[in-house]
Order: sequence, then C-alpha cells, then structure tokens
Amino acid sequence: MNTLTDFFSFSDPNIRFVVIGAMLLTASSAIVGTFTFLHKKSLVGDAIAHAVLPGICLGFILSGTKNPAYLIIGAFITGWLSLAAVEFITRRTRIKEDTAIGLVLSVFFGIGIVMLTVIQKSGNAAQSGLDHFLFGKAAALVGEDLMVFGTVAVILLFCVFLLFKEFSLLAFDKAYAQSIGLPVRRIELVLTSLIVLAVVIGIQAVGVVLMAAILITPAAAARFWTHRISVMVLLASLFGAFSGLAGAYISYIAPAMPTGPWIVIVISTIAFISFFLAPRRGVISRMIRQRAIRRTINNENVLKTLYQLGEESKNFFLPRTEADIIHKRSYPSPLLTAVLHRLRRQGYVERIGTTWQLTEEGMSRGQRVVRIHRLWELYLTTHVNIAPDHVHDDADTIEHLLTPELETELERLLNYPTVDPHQAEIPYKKPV
Amino acid sequence: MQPEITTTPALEVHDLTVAFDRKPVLWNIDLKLPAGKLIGIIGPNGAGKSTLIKATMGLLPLSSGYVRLYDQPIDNVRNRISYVPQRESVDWDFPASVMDVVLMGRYGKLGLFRRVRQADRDVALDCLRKVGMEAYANRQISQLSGGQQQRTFLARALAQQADIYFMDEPFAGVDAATEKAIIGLLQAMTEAQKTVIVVHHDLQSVTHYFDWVIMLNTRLVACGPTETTFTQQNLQETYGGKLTLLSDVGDLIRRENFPNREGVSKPVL
Amino acid sequence: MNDLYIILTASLVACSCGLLGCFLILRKMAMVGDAISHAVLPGIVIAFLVSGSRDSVTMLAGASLIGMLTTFLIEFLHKKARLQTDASIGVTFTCLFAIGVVLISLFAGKVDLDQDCVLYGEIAYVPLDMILSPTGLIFGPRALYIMGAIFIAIVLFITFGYKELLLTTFDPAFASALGISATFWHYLLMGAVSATTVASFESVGAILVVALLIGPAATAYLLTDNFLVMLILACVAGVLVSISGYYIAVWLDGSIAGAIAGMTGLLFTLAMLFSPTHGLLFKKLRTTSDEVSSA
Repeated sequence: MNTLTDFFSFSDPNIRFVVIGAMLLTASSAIVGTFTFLHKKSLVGDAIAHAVLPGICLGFILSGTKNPAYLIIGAFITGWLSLAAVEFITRRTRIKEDTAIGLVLSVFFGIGIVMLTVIQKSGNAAQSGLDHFLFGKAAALVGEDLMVFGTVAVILLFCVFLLFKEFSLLAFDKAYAQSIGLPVRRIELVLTSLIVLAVVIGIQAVGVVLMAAILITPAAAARFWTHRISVMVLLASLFGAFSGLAGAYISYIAPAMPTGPWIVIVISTIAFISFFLAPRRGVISRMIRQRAIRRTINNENVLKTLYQLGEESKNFFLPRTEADIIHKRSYPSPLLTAVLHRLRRQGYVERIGTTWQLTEEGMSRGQRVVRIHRLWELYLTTHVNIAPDHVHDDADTIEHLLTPELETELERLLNYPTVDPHQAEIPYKKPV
Repeated sequence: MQPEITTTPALEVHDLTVAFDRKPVLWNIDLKLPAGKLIGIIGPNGAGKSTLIKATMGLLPLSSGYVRLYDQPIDNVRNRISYVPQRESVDWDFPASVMDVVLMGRYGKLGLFRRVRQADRDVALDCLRKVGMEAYANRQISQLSGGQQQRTFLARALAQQADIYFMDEPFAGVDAATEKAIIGLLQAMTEAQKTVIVVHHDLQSVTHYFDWVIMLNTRLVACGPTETTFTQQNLQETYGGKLTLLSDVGDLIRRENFPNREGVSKPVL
Repeated sequence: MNDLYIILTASLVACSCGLLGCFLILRKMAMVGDAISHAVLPGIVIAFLVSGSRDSVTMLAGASLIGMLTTFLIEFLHKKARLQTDASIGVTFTCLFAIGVVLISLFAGKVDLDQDCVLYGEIAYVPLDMILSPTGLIFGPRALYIMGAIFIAIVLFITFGYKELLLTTFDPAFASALGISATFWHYLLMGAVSATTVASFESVGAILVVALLIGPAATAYLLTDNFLVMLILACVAGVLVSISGYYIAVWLDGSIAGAIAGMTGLLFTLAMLFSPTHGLLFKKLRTTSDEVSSA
C-alpha cells in the first residue's frame, strides 16, 4: 500500500511531471480523437502517427538537438505531408483509400527507421533517447517537456472549443454543412491540423505504433455510453486521462514495464468493458433486454392460453391444472410452472391447490394479447395480401410487441372488426 | 389470388420473411412462378426487389419460410441457377478482361481445384457472341461502357448454362440499343424454356417485356400473367402510399430488438 | 555470400507478401493486413514461451490462429458491438500489439525478442543463424529455408485456389450464388496472411511486412489490367525493392528493412507517374493531346 500512497501524494516532482504529462497527452489526444472517430478517419490517425517519425529525425538532424520545439515542427511537416500523399493517391490514381493509407504509413515509417538508425550510428551523443518516439517515454517526462506539451494541449482544446459545432455538423452531415455555406474545406483543414498536432504530442506518451489507440479507443468506448457529442468528448477525455494515470502508476510500481503499452492496455480494457456492459448499446445489456422480452413473451403466452381455455368453456375464471394448459399449448413442464409462479407474484393468476385461476387483471391482459393477435392476422390478410394460413406466426410475435397507440391505430384502421380471418371472435374490453 | 400453375413450378417461395437488423423488409411472401417465362419484379424504391432475389438464391438469411427451385432445395440445384448482380456491386477497376469475367460463369460447373479448359473458353466465347461482345473478349473491363459492362455480366450468366436466371436491374444505366438487344436475348432464352426473373424499374415497358409480373412493396401485392395482373388497381396499391402501420411495426421490432418469430419451427424439407 | 543470403531472404518475403497483397488491396482490406501484422505479436511471444524456440511449427500455427482471431475480432466489434469498421480495426490491433510488447517486457529474460526487432526486424542477422549438418557442412541460413517453404506454400495455395480466390475477390455475391463460400475463402486468405506475417516477422519486423504486403501489389496494380500479370509484377517489384533497398541501407549504414520499405514508396511513385496505362504523366499527355486534336 505504501507505493500507492507515495504515488498519489505526488510529493516527488518526477512523479508529478509524469502523471500530469501522461494525463495531459492522453486526454488531449482523446478529445481530438473523438472527432477523428466521428469523421471515420481512425486509420488516417494511424497513418499520421507513423509518418511523423521521419519528421522527428529530420528535425533532429537539422537542429542537432532534441529540443521538442524543433522535433514537433519536423513531425508536423511530415505528418501533413503523409496526409496530402494519401489524398493525392486516392484522388488521382485508381488506388483505393485503405491501400493508400497502408502504403504511406509503411513507407514513411520505413524512411524514418532508416534515418533513426543512421543517426544512432552517427555517434552524436545528443541522439540517445530519440528512439523513445517508437514506444513513448511517458515515464521519462520532465518539466521542460511539460511546458511544450501543455502549450500544444491548450491550443488543441481552444480550437476544439471554438469549432465544436462546426466539427460536429461536419461529422454528421457534410453535404448539409456545405449547403448552408460553411467553409467545409477549411474546417476540415483545421481538424486535420489538430489531428496532426495531437499525434505529434501524443506519441511522446505511447509511441508511433500505438498512437492510434489513444486517439480512437477512448472515443470508441465513450460512444457506447452516450448519444451526445459533448458528453462523448468529456467521457473520452476522462477515459484517456484515467488510462494515462494508470499507465504512469503501473510503470511506477514496476519500472521495467513500458508505460505506453500499459496505457493502451488500460484504455482497451475500458473500451471492451464498454462494448459489453454499457447500458442500451452494450452487448450484455442487449442480451439482458432480450431475456426480459423473452420472459414477457412466456408470461403473455401462458395468459393467452388460459384466456383461450376460458373462451372454450365460456368461463374465464375456472381453475385449470397445468395439464390442461399443456394440452392446449405445449410448454416444457418446468418452464410452465416457473412462469405460473411468476404470474402469481405479479397478480395475474391465483393458485388454488394444484390448479391455477386467472385474476381479473390476468384475464384482461390475456384478452389483450388475443385481441392483438387476431387484429394483426386480420390486418395481414386484408391489407398486406398474405394468405390466411401464413399470418399466425407473425401475429404470435406482434401480439407481445404492439404499443397501445399502434393497437388503437390498428383497431381504427380495421374499423373495429368482430371476427378474424379464421372466424374467431375478436374480444374487446367490455364495461363490466 | 394467384392463378394455379399446373406443372412443377420453376420457383416456389413459401411464407418468406427477410429482416435486416430484425426489421422485416419482406413480409410473408408466397409465390409460384412457371418455367419458361420472362418475369418482371416491379415496385417502388425500398420495396425489397433485390432482397427478394438475393433471399431466393440463399444469399441472405431468412427469418421464415423456404424456397424451392424445381421442387428441390436451393443447394441441390445451384448449378441450375444463375445470377446477374447489380452492375455497381463490383469494382470495375479490377484487373480482368471481359473473357476472364465471362469464364467466372464456368467456375460453378468446374468445382474446386479444376482449371479452366478450352471447352470452357469456347462456351464463354459463344456467350460473348450472343450478347454481341465477341470483339471485346480481350478488352479490359475498366474500359467498358455501362452497356458493355451489363452485356459482359449477361454473358457470364449465360456461360453458366443454367435453367433459371435472376437479374438485378439489368437495364439500369444502359443505352437503348443495349436494352433492346438484351430483351431480345431474354425472350429467346424463355423460348428455350429458360426462366428469367428480372428486377425492373421502368413501368412503361412492363407490358412489352414481361409474360409475368411480381408486384412488390415490402409485401406481395400481386403475382401473375402480365395482362391480368398489371392493372391500374394493383399499380395503385404497389406505388400508392406505404402501409404506415406495417413499417411502424417493423421499426418497433428493430428498436426493441425483438426476437422475431420466436419458437417457429423451421419447415422440414 | 552474406549479401546474397540477405537479399534472397528479403526477396522471398517480398514475393510471398506481394502475392497475398494483390488480393488484399483488391478486396479493400489493406488495413486488415496491417492490423494482422501487428496483432500476431502476442501470438509470437506466447508461442515462443510455450515452445521455447523460434523455429517451430507451433509458432506458425499459433500465430495463424491469432491472425484469424484478429479478423474475427474486427468483425465481431463491427457487427455485434456495432462499431464502425475503421475504429474496430484500430482498437483491435493496438490492443493486441500493446499486449505483445508488455509480454516481451514481462518475459524479457526468456524471450529472445526486443521491441526494435519487432518493429523493423533483424534481417542483417539472417546469415548468423545457419543450418549446419552434424559434420559441419553449412546448408545456408535458417530464415532462408523457412521463407522458401512459405513462398512455395503460398504459390501452391494461389495456384489451386486461383478460381475461388479470384471470384470471391471480384464478386463475392456471385460466388455465393455459385455455392462458393466467400467467408471460407476470406478466412483462409487471412490465415495465409498471418502465417506469412509471422514467418517474415523476425527477419523484417511488423512495418516492413506491411510495406511489402501493400507496396509491390499497389505498384503492380498501376501497371497492368491483367490479374495474373499483376501477381507476377508484384513479385518482380518485391525483388527489385529488396535488392535496391539492401544496397541503399549498406551505403547509408542504416536499417535494411527501413530502406526496403522506403524503396517500395519510390517504386510506387515511379509507377504512379510513368505507368504506360495508368501513369499520371501519360494521362496528362493524353488529355493535352486530346485537347490539341479536338481544337
């Protein structure tokens, strides 16, 4: 526990730099990344990330120092160049965009690697640490770096804040944005510059190969929790900052561990948790909803069967054995028992000895299901031209689904009919 | 509702429902089509015309129902069916010649590992001749006009030497001469007892082109011989107004992630 | 002699990748190839730990599995979690690559791999690992044999599956109508890409694999309209960049893999400008001469 308190007291200035630096880098990348994601340019971000390497090396060769300002300028230039190359190739040749991205990415990176190895062998003492750009150096950030990254991050945030509504509109409907006279081309140019800038400082944290992760993954995770872009940007930056913090902590307790990859693992974990657990959009919550629906279907089917038995004997409140119910419509016996107990708890049936009896509510709900079933069958035969012997299965689904509004609409459309295509009576709620 | 077909139908579609993302785009379609006829599928945009032929060929999963061709399940008669997809569905920048594409029609007959033989080339060339493209056999497909692309696809379908042909908008974006040539060819095919099913857009030409029509708008409106089926009333029903309730319910199924057709046992074939 | 070994190995990698790359770029799946080449890293490390050596069939098999898993994961995220394709590719490969790098640090003592080697390989060391007979006879570098075997396997795969690969690439719907499963061939191809990536990984690293998967194929695509010729040209381009890249690297005293990747870019640019059929220069000449003749 000691390490935990040591770490979070932030008394060590080095820890302070690393934590603030890592969180700043990941959060600002995540914010810009949200728009990269929404503009469906995730892989373009990846290409830029790889393409800044030669720029960094060039910046170093020309300036002879590792001053971040020079390196950033160099990176910015080649980052932009790579984008221009992708766009040129896609527009002017028969090469498709994905191929152009992959090609530019690997070629720029290859050239960067050659330059890096040449620099390393040149014997220039200042070069040591340049290869940090490959995998990031979040754990080795110092105060001087923070000044530069802080400034860039502020510029990024300011631009995003200023152009928030334009970026959002463009992501949603470019043609419309054009039609209302927005300077689409120029706004895109600004966004692209922001991506390049975010990449240039982000690679300090995780390196070129994993850069795409801190750009895209927070946004992808955030997408599962909200439909609003502003909330999404906020969530993405929180996810990003948290993974930066976690990465810094992990490399604090295990110094041999690379910070960048851990940041990525943390943010990926958040993303996968989101994919599965997020309410509404998450895979698991969708499964839970499915189960709930299936349960409702089972409930209503049993009520329907009890109602139909009542129709046959002209008495809806006779007690029925489970065998009676199964005889009318086959259910696996344990399922039926479970469903009946659930219905009893909900007040739709009562248990009398070993038999079951509909309550007033149960009768009315069973009646509604039967009514919708028969109305839908009638609708399908009269309005949709479907043969009477094919409408039953559809009605079996729709009877559980129809909202009261659609039910009323259906009754009105069919003019309150009394019999279905199979000459069964369509029951309406009668005033008792 | 639909006239009885006395002989074995070329195609029987029974209670077919197809859903995208759970929303039904075709509701309970029942059809029987006779052999040796030129059959048009018509209906407004989004009526499910392409979906119907894709589902029939087993390219899309069915939510319900089954399809039989010549009274057989589709997988038993794959080599008797042929498909002409929409022209835009492929990348015409693909490095291939007209001949290469037409030879693809022979792949189903050849089976795994077997290579294309001279006999296949002869068939392919013969098919190219039928569509008036023999001069273009070695032309790169990226250099073809829209009409020539369509003829190439048609030749590929012919090279399959099938009995039933599904064509997805073969007249879209082709010139008048090509359209005339194609329709002549299709009529000749039906005279040779081939069944040709065509997704079609242009209502003006329906009565000139087709023996039968299928009128579709997410549900089957009518299906039968053109002269008795292609009526003002059926047209009104096909094109005039959507069934709002039906599409509302479809949207509801998708929104609620509803398990469509739970517990329906698949019909045993 | 060492020069020859290195160039030969690089050429075999380039040809294997170039052949598969032709299918990848025509299927618009270049970035899936990129993702696989990164994602096999954890597979390699785990196989390494399990088998304890580099040259094992387990490694190839295991990593091919990981490659197909990557493909599956991308599709899963896209279809089940409804994430857009580009993002599902990005999320998947960065996550797996990060796991791989962490595994390497975690088992630094046990795994004879380092981060740099992962990125740009150690093709210069190819001649250091020779196969020797018990009597001391030198048969040549191990990597050369492995890549030779992979190359032959790929050529056989493409020869025997030519029709099916071609058709499922050009028109998957038509293929399905014929009863040829597009999904089956899709996964088979991805398996082949993974196996090639793994085998090439050590010699050339993740990035060069991407460069060789995409570069030569893209170059060939600009030079011909015949698929068979495209396959051959991709191989030729692969050999050309291997040779020129090697000598440039020697001249600069820099990374060989990086130089080869750089050369694929140069070759592509040349093809883009000067290709007789699709080159920008000739297109330009043609349009100007058209203008002149029409005027």
